[in-house]
Amino acid sequence: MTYCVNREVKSFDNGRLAWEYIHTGGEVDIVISDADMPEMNGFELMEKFKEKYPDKTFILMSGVSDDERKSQIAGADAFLAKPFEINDLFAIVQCFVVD
Amino acid sequence: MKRFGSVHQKMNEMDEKEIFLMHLHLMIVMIKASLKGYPAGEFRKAAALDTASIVHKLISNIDLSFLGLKTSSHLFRERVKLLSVMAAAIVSEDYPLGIHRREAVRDNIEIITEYAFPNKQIELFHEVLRVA
Repeated sequence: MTYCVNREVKSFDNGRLAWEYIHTGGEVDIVISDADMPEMNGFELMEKFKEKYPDKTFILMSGVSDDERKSQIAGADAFLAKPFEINDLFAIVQCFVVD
Repeated sequence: MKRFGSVHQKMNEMDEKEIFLMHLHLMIVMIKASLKGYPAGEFRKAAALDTASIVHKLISNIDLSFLGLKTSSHLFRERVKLLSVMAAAIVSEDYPLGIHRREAVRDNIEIITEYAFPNKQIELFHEVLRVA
């Protein structure tokens, strides 16, 4: 999936590992996170990320319809509803990287 | 907040079939992009090789009954496997790609697309492939 953007893409098995990377100075421009993750869920990760980088982009994805409203309230820049297609990932790159 | 992905009523966790189709779709996009001469940088090239390898692995075991194939699923599997090998060769630029081989790749894509994405146009996001 990382083909969609010609940049280095880091992936992590859970929110805590992602946060450890970000918190310890790992460079990041955009985060795409599942809402449902072990140890630290997507909402918790977004709260911490936005506190540190309010101007950077955070996209939450979920297959649970209630998470869409929760994402909006919590301040996500975008919501990616599962199941999604590859065109949705290209559209995200178009929107947040190209434009 | 911007929104992407499926409509509200169809939201669900992604199953094996959807994940396979997404990787297959991406592999077709990246072959088409390579054939059209879009530059593949270091990261995109590595990601493309990963995708080809994932598709090759997924097609070996997935139950293809959801495609409702009229012909043998074995033939479809072999076509997809061949395309994944072609994809790796094209992206890595290790092998020459003459006019006949290009034509064979296009034919294979056309047939696979007909079965796997019967109602879908596989489009290229030109700006993303050129700029991002």
